Amino acid sequence: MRALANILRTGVITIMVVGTLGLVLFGPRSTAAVPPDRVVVRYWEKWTDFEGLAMQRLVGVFNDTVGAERGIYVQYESTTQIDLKSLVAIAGGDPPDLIGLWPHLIASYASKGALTPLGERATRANISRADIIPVYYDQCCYRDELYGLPLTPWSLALYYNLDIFAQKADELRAAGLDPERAPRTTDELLAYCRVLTERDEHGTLTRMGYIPGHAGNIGWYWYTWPLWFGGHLADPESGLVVANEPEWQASMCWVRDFAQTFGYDALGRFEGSLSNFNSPDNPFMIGKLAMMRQGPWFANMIRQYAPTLRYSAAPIPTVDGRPRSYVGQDILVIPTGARHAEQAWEFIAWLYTNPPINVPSGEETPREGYEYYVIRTPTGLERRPMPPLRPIEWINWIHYKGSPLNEASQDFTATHPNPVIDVHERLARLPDAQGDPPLPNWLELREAFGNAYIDIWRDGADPAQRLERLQARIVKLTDIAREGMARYGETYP
Amino acid sequence: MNGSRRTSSVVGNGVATGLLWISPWVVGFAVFMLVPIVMAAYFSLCEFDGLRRPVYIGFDNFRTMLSDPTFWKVLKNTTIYAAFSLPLGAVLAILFAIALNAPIPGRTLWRALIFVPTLVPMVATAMIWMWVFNADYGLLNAVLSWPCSLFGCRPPSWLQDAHWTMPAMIILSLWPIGHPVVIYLAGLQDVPTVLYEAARIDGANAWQRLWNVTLPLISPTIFYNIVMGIIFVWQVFAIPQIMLRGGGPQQNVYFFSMYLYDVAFTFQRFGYACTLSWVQLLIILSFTAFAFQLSRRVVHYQGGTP
Repeated sequence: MRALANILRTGVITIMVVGTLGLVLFGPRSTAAVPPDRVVVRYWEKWTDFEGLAMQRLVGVFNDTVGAERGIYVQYESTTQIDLKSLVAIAGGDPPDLIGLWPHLIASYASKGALTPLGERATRANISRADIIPVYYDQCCYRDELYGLPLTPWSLALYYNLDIFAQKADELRAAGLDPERAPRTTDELLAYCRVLTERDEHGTLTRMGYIPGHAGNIGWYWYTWPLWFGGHLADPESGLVVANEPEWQASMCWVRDFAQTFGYDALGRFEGSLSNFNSPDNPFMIGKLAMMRQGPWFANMIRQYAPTLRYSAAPIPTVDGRPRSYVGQDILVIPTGARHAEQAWEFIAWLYTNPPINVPSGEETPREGYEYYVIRTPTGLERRPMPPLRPIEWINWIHYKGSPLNEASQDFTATHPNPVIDVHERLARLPDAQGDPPLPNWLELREAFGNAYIDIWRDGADPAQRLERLQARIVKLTDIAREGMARYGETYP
Repeated sequence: MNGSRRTSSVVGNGVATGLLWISPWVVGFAVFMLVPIVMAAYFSLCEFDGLRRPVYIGFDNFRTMLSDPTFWKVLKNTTIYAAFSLPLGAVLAILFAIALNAPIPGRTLWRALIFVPTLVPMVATAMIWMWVFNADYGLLNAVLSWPCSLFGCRPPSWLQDAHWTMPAMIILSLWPIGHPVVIYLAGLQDVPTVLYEAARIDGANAWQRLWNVTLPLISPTIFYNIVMGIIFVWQVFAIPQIMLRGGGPQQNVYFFSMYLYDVAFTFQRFGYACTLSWVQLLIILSFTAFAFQLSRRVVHYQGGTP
């Protein structure tokens, strides 16, 4: 028995040792070959698929040119839940050198000292507020200090399906509406929606003109409703969120009325039947939704998933018909504790200051349609090579987004592949364009608004009363945040 | 004296060897469980955003919690979920186990089939059930449409209607029932057949045999499953988080762990999240302690109390 036990023990130990050695010697290795004598800049970015591939190609150009000259190698790492993982990495003292974040996190991260200030570096590189569309630049600042630079900016627009509008042209005209254009006011939006919406013989909604809802992906940016009624997400004077303003109430009354018009249960069932946003089954692309509120990336998705779809875009309908704008962006930041902050900055500066580049095209093209653009000529569709662009414009061109630069290059504008980019560009440059308020607890306040919104949208809660309750909750949450910041010797907001 | 010293030396060696062999677990437990639990206890008394040093604030977080309507909401939701899913799951699992312990045709196949769902990853389970619960195209409503039509109503909008989200989650909690069923089956096979024969000779019918023989003898297994169930239902997270992030309409399925996650990782209030996590731990410990107290009266171990 003892001999058997010894054999077993020896066997187990041998297997463990051999297994460990095997893993060490032959286990998985990083596939990216880093050239010797380079400083590796770890770059975490949220993009995957075709958007990620495009950024990887731009990073490749940097690594092969300026990076090679200066001994820098940027390593692109596609990272899901990037906000959460960045937070943990920064807290753990081992952050990447460069992160692609969202501006609504700037206040929260910067107030906690998690981001490296970039103002001085930007000045040295001759990058100033004057070079960038102001609303985008300002979103990268917290308390007058610059903490990031815009990477891919965007504004929201109303996408509408031209085929559905054409099919319903007579009915739209009969209702006194113009089938050749999108609705401009919120009253018109509801009127268009009445005509474009269809039900089957059981009364089930089979197509909606539009949905202001909250659930899933179709309700992106539901919290922007007060803007379209002339309100502000945060009071311009105090910087605080004031949910019981008349504009907030008017917008929530509209949402409630919309839901009552089509029926809470029917809308709920319809929302539940919609497929994934990021797929060829996108409800707008398959004609289940005639209008949808989206950013310029949506045109890129349509190119990928429904290239024959006929669509256009227009400003989001507002209460008085005057165009208003909500903007956002992906930004690049250098976290506190980054080991190669200077090299990471070199990459950011290269995006902005490098002269126009030609990104290699041809057989290594990851997907058709990137290095060429298609224009409509009298003889049909024609493919032309992509023009040389500054790196920051190149990535936005590829992503179908607008330029963050105050003066976009002529080539960028003239050859841009997004057929509705002019609408987005115009909206981004409106003087009163708004983004998320720079409040450290904005996400918590938005979540509270979300709960009120669902109560109104799904259950018909009285908007005035519900917003009063929301306001009380916002005051409470603001007090908690203020108290918390005071403990670190800071003020809110 | 010599003999006693040798004995204690042998015992000492045995203890040392034992400790050495379990040391990976002890070290792992200490580093990944004990230290975080103790640290969480300290952070629960601090203002802490995860990035800067924690600032001691006494019991402020506990006071904040008591006046936090979301805390009470998630506490209520989790209690309702636990109150329904735990007994329902236990009863159904015992019934399935008894049925699968009987000599029915294709017994092995049925046993395998009931266990298979537990092998499906949680994300896949959530995605599948989102379609099963779909109001217009879902499998469940396809089955319910005929009986509902008899009463002139439509099957519910499970995930969109605030009244039906909780029942949907309770139904879904039965999906991994195969795991306790397998444990009950093992317990049932330990019940000596002579006891059933004796009960039959005494004239006991099937119900009396179940109540007086089977259940008492598998009571340790039931107890184990109940304790595990308490821990599981009070920590329910992944599936509702994927299916109805934020708790769905009226936040009716916003559970304790979901709120805790949001407070920590979305709102970056780690001090308050630690407070919530300690309260969650105390709730689970209280219910488990209550179950242990109760077990003294209703759990019967064949060799006596362990």
